[in-house]
Amino acid sequence: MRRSIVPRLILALTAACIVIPAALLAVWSFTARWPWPNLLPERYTPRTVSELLFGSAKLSRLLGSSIALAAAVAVLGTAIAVLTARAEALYRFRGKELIRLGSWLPLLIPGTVFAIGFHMVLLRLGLADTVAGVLLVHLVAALPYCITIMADVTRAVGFGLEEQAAVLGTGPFRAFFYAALPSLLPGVLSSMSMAFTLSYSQYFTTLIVGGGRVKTLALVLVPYIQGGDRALASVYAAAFTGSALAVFGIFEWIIYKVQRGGT
Amino acid sequence: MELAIKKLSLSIQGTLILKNVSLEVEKGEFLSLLGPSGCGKSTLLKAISGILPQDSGEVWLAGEEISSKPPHRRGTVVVFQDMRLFPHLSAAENVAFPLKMRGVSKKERLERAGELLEQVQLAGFQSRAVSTLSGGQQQRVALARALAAQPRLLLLDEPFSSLDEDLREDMRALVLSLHRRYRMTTVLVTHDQQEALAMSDHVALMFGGEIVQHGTPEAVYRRPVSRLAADYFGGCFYLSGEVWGGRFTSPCLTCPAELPDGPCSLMLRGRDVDVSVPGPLALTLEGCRFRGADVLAKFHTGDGTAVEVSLREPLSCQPGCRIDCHVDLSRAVFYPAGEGGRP
Repeated sequence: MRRSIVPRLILALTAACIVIPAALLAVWSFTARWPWPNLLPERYTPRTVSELLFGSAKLSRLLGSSIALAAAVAVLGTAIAVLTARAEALYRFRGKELIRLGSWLPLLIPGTVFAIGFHMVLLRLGLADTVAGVLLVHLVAALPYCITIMADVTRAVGFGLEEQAAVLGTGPFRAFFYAALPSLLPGVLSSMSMAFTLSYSQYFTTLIVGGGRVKTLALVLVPYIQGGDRALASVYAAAFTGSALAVFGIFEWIIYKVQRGGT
Repeated sequence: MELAIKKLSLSIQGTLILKNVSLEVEKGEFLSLLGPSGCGKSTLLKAISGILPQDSGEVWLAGEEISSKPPHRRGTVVVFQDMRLFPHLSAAENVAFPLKMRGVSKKERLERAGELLEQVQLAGFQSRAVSTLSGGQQQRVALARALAAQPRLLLLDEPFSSLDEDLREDMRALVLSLHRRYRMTTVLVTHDQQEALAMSDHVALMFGGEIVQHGTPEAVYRRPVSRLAADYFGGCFYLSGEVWGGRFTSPCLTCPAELPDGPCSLMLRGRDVDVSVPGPLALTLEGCRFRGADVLAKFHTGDGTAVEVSLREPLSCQPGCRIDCHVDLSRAVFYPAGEGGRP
């Protein structure tokens, strides 16, 4: 049987879209001079890497704080989403539509307007320029996505497995954790990854609400890109992408462990 | 009395589903809740197990009122039609689940799961992922898991309806043999008349959220309480007439009847008619249809009532011919005129 060439072509194209920019990023990260029209750089340098690791911005601290912040957003956002989605997908109550609309509102308002409005509220609460404030604004930005992802999964899983666990003698909390949650985990993984990426890549909201005091990788990355030092921007972008991928890997590993822990 | 339901009513979103249901099941008994889909039989099962809260009434199990207890404290285990196996667990882990929840050690619970899988004829399937099992095998795992929970009351919610016919027969036999082995009080919900009649000690017939009849399979089948109940088992016809002075008279048949005077109708089943022996019931042949195991002969009476009789061989006479048939009047059931279903 002759296989169609179309799927393979699409696959190759998709792979190229990912691999070529990534390779370019890697090459640019070590480039000292790359004059036109050379196919490859003229000179390479480890300057960017040492700047990244030991420079003024201190990568390790930046990475630590960015990942901690984004991971907190991922965990909190997904926890809230699991509960909200459960209410929205499986229960009937007054004002349900209002909550559904409410969970979408942060998406309907332009990011800049949203960030400035949020900043004013945080100023009044005394949370402006603090990590807690930035965490809150990232959470609100991530929740619409987390809730939507979790609502679909929760609707698909339903009450069935929990009911089964209950009649087999399992209390409500354990029924949720042992019977329903394992089936929700793929959604939990998507939701956490989504929230993590969203928080990790926030620039404007972090800048406004954090007032420059809360430093994240994205916050430092943007001036480098705007500053025109392409090599330095590349090495930061590589660090940014690589660290996010590493965290996804860890999420996936944890979920796998939790799922196997059910035995 | 092991299970006693007293005046149970239940509504879902404002619609009354169960109306004042009362039912008693003896210890070790196998009871079938039989009725058409939507009659509330599955809802009754969910009320007994505590999945759905009742509006009013009581549920007693082994002398204890359990309606205020949550499902996990009732000891009533349900095997659902859609099996509800935990997809992230293997076959043995599924069976061991209720034991794990009780804190039984891993070694002990997997050992017990292995034994139970053997009892449902799934020896060697311990480590199989449940998604790789066939429908019948999944049903067996669900059954073994229910047994592992050591239920005080086993509730089976149409457990065979998603299986192929030959598999269904095997599963029925398996369920009955396990019932004999453990003597577990069991309630089976089904819409399959033969299944209910063949498997149970008692049958409770449900229509429209009410139990209309409760008795042995023979009693429920032979003496349906209403025309609605008789029609549900099918294959019956009605002769309308009147009772005067202890005799039932209709245009096609006359017979003794111990009933007060007045109009009534007499229910007979096609199988109570014997076309090979001459008798009082005059039938006109409409035609015969070959069905493999039997031949379905269609007749009508003098007043146009349709009668279907299953025969071993087609009749030699032509459509339109008149046959005087014998009827087994000991099987006749009288209903007051205008009662149940049809006028």
